[in-house]
Amino acid sequence: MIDLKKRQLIKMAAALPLFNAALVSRAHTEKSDFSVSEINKVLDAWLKTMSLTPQDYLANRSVLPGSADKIREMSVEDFRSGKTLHVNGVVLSCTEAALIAELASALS
Amino acid sequence: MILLLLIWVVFMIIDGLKIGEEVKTECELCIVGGGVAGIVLANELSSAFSSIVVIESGSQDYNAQAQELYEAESQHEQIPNPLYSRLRMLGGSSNHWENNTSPFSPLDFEKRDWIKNSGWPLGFEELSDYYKKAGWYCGVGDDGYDQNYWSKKLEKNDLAAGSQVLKTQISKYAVPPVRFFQQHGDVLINSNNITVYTGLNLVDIIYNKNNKDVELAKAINTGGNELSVSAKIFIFCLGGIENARMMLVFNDKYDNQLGNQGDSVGRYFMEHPTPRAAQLLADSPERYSFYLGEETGDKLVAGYFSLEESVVRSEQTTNLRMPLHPSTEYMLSDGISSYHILSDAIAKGDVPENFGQHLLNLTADIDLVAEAVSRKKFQKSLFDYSKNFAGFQMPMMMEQTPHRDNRIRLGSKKDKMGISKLKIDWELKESDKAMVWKTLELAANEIGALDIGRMRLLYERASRIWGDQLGFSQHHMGTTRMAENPDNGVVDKYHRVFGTNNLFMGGSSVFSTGGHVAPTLTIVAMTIRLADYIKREYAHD
Repeated sequence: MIDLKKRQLIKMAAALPLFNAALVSRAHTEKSDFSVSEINKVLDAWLKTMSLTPQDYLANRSVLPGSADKIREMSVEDFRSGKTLHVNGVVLSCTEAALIAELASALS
Repeated sequence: MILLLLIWVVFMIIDGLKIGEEVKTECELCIVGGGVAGIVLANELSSAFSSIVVIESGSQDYNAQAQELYEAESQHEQIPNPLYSRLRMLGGSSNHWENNTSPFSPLDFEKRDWIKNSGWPLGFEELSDYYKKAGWYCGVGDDGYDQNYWSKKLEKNDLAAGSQVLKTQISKYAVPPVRFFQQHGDVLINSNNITVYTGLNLVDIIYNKNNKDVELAKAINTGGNELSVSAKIFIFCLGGIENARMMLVFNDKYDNQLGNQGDSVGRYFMEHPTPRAAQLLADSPERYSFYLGEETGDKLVAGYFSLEESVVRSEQTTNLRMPLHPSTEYMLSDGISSYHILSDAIAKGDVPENFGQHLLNLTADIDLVAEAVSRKKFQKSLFDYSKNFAGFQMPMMMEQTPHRDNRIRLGSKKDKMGISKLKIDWELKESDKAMVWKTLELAANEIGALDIGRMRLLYERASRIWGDQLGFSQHHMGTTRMAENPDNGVVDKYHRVFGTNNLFMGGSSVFSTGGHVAPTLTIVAMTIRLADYIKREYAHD
């Protein structure tokens, strides 16, 4: 069973395009070790390089549950202003990385 | 009648292997080298001069004996030996090219303060009119490279439309590729005023130090028989490496007065390395069809990503040609790459950088590593999903910036013609690699912002990307570079060798910088421009 908070996070993260959506979808439906380990890599990378927690980062940016358009808008803004996180070489916006990192911590 | 025709054809292409001991001939124009540049010159100038001689070392077909003359005495371990990377025959290396064409960018010709030795003595605007005709020679038509035009014509989405950072550029390939002698050799065969000698190798010139004229060129066959050609004008079109080699030989004889006043002959050697330093992760290939190539008529048109010139300028970096090649899970696997890095390091008794990451990759991708082993050892695939689409490889073409110490030198050994073999000193500078990473970072951010995928930068594979996996385009440039004056170059803006009145160089050896796209279209455009100049200056009224 996944609790409400996790469901909200998954819903938010699933609003992300392409790579992230695929990851989250795998974690949600298959919950394979591989997918979880990929998501955990994002959390690890976040903790190693960012001063704010993912939760605080999202709160500071006013990213609310269910606000798919806002997430995309913030994500584009992050990319354009160079607010990115490299996870095993993959260049993610800080907003999407924070969402996935938050999801990883919720799932763990 | 057929017999007469055959005799006539044979007459215009003379087999230099069968000439007498000492043959002398005179002409107005002598072109040495029957590759792309030589053939274009002969076509462009055939009606302007009453007598043209073309000298080619090879023949119409591949000839191993001629090819051997390309063999280097030594070269950097990563650079392919020219014995294999070039072709010594009529049509030259167009006999094995992919026919990849794109024009250089205006920025390529400019002096860029952040790139030492950059800047051509001519601007893009002086060449742009010649690109259309060059497109015809290359078999890709005169319909240009405008991405908006091609996006509409092919009904494909330009995924970088509207971006201020990234742009889509166009490559066009003739299908099948144009082999220049087959396609444009008729003029050489059929013109009464053109005589082609095959099987003869340039070995010497006579240069008059007083009036600065080259008066004579000597070429010999494998038996030592000699052809002497006196001419009003000589144009060497021997290729990006051989042009420099022969000019070094002749400068030894003439005290560096032939374009080597500034010790530039053979220097500034550039290639187009093709590092696979990034991937584009995407959900399916369909959205990217503009970049996967579409045949239209007798050519294939494909988009690729590059940075906008304004960004290259403001970020002080070099540009990249970033095409997309659809790839499977197997092809993009980290584990397989890490497996090779770890294996190589262990075999050498080393511990590689990022050891922990490689070990993690190996563990996470152990199924695909097993797949690789199975495919290699048993020619058998284990997992069907290894063939699933996973994203795109980006076999990018990078600009190598010009450095004096990347050079061609004469060695101590000699080839069968008595000409010194060459040594190739080459290195990819750390500054060039750093600019590639910088450009990729900018591209990755913009691809994310455009929401067309996510890029993965393969920093952890750097040892292989810049090492055993580094590819080369076999584009040899810069060794007789064009410059404002002899202090920093070999030829002037009209390809004339400094210190001479009548010796010119054709081909990519005159490029001052190499750009980030294949050079042949630009070689042809510059050759047509050279022909126009020669006509203006020397042809009869």
